[in-house]
Amino acid sequence: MGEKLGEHVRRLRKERNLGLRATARELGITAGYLSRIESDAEKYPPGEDVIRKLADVLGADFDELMRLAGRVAEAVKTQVREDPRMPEFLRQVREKGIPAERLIEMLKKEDKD
Amino acid sequence: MLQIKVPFLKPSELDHASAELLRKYSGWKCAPSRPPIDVDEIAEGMLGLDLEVVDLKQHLKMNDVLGATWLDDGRICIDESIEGQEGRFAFTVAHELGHWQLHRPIIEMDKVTLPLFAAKPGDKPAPAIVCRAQARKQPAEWQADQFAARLLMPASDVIAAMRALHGDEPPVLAGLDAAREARQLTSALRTIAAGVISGGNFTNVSNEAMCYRLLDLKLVLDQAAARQGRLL
Repeated sequence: MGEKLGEHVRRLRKERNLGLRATARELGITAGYLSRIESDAEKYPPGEDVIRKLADVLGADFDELMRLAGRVAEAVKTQVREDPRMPEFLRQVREKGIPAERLIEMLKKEDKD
Repeated sequence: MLQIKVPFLKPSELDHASAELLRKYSGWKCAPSRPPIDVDEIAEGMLGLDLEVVDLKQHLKMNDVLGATWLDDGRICIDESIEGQEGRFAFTVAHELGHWQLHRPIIEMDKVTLPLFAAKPGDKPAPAIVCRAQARKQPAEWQADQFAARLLMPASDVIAAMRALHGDEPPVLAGLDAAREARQLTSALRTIAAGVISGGNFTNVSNEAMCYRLLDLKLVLDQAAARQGRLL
């Protein structure tokens, strides 16, 4: 089984030699809250704003942190809500088992062309 | 929770233990260790311990707990109720470091000889040392307090700050000993402590802790005792 959000955050923080309280201060949250995030003891996963700051301070991948927190970014939700064809598109992607990696490659190729 | 039986330590041994940790910290940091002594960095950075801020009172079902150390996990937990109080927080971390430095070797040794500590596979590790406000008088707790005071307020730095403010002669205050016996601190002493904290950059030390450090180092004298000393 892969790392949970808390384990991931604590590992990155330690790898970067960042102290608990110093990190919490940078994030604008209490050390108690950061401790609960790191031990996966927080009832609700941190919100997008905290995750964004965590990604900045830890030099971590925002999308990966969001995935580990089980959250979907607001921008993605808005895209799905506002584009009427998006649900069908996502359904087809799932049914055909197309990995996101391949779609990203296709988009990059289109950009080049 | 364990009651740790600890050997008696002379003040000079406590001086040596705290100075040794500061010396190692200085080497690790490649810079002199000057106040404010960053005890978080000593714990997490240099010693590689996990520092956590948790609701210990709820977790351990004790309403006067301030800190706890899990020796097997290398984990120090501080109760979240003192998070906003820098002086108390840093002193509690320094106190737990005192247990780590002074008492961990004793407990490690006991583990070898006493089956009491043998944990079954899968057991959740229990904290070896739990520090409660009311347990301050146990020898292990007293030693950890003394270690913490020396770590956060190294004698040389306190003396230098006092000299800069008051010269070579220690200030003489009325009613100092009587107040101390009544577990009180005079306002004159608190004023001197505030000056030392500010002048010596002891920004993570409480006024109360500095008062006791000044008294222990005999950097302030009781008027009656000083007069008696002159007559003898």
